[in-house]
Amino acid sequence: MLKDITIGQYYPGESLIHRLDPRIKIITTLIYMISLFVVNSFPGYILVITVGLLAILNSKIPLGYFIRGLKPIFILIGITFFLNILLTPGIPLVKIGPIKITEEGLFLGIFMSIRLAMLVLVASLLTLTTTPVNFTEAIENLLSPFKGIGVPAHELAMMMTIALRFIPTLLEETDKIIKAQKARGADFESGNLLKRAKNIIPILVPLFIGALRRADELATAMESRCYRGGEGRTRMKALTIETKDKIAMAAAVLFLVVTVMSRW
Amino acid sequence: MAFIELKNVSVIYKEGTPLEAMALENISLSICENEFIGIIGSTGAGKSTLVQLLNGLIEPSRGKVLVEGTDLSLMKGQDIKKVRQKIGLVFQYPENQVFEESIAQDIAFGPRNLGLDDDEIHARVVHAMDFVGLDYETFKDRSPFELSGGQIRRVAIAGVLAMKPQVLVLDEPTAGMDPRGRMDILDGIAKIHRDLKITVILISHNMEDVARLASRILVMKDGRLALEGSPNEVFSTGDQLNSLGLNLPAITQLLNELNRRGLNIQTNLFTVEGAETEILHLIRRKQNA
Repeated sequence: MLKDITIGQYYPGESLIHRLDPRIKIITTLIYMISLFVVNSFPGYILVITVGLLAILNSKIPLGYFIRGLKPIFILIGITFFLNILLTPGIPLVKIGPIKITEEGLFLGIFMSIRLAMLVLVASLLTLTTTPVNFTEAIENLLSPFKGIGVPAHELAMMMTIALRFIPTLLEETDKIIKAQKARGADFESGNLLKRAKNIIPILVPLFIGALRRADELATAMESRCYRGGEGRTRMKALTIETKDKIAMAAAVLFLVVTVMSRW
Repeated sequence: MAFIELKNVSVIYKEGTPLEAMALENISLSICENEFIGIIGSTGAGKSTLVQLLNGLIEPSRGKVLVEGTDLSLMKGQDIKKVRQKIGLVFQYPENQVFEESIAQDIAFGPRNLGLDDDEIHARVVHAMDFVGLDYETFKDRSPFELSGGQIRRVAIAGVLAMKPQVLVLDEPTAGMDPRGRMDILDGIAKIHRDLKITVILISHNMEDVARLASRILVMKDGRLALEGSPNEVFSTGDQLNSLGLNLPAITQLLNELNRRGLNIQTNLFTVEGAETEILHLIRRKQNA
């Protein structure tokens, strides 16, 4: 059950997408997401979907990983689809009692579902092809121009790194605590909702205490290695923009221009 | 009849994925009533996985686990709960499982899950605390989080004892403790075995502890049962034990070394007390000669 959580999961690989600079990856992903919501014509959609799928194929990551990432939002996509179909005014196609399905509604429903699905797919592509360390470093780098107006770029990135680092640790710990309480006869599978909620206390209390203890130990360990925040901090492996990154960036800008043009 | 029986049990984690890992391989084993079993083996040998099989916390990928002749995989919720009452398991670092405001409440967690009435729960908590050497009146209202490492482990053991198990399984109960605390816990475990007449299964990294307490030793290596027998049988295979990544008890190593240097001394002794008597004997023999 707990093993299914895939946030921040990285799938090792050597593809072009894997090797792109993480900053470029984040920016091009954002550009792609904007394009997704800019296009409104049939050829436009074909273009956007093709580009998205090509990028996914290039990563050489088994498609199962992407499908798994889509699972949690299946319901959301379904609701969006039906609301659009039922509530868009226009030329009616089918009419059953008070419910009418319009041509515009049908297209809008399909398009919105595709937009949502592609949104999640490219977001998964970004996290699957970028190591957490690279990802947070890129975030810090991209946010650093805003330091002047009080954005704590380094602190945010450090918090993200630590959070990602401890997800597997805490999952493992939760598993252990659940087993320990089960060994003492605890029952997490039966009873009504209120009883089940109460049954979680024996898991939550030790888990929180453990998390606080870990945080305390981590802070001590960081301080004893002279961590003093982001001021003047250098990197062992600094990010560098190479030719392929420039090409990717140019392609993304061109892509955005084309999609905007496709509206007319 | 054996109380617990494992028949050709294998445990495979994440079977069918690239991350597949064999945790236990084809283990057959029977555990009888009133035995004291020591399980030793290097880290990752499958000791913890093995004991979690015994009360159904992990299901075997292959093979069967029988408790009093019944296959665990055929049991439903209430029956599994009964098995977990009969086979009490104290996890490694049990201080990470306490959650109640007071020690008495935390020890009562197990009995309450069994659906006992308040009088019975109270009686069991008093008895269990007394048994592990925690005075009820002094400790009952204290928070479990203000105790010392040794005390909190005793609370955890009491929490399992209060369920009146027939088998007590302890996964490295002395990990990370100082020598004095370790002796106290181990003496407590020996007392539980002796006075309550229950089966004890003790996982340990420490050869001396196992040698001193266990009547039967299981040696695990890479998910397999590599050696099995009385302390005498297991520790007389010195070289084989070394090849399994384990050492003889330090005191036995000393006796072996003395023997190698020409002293005529008995080497199949595994406790400091036993070795002390033997060395004194030797000295006396020399003086008389």
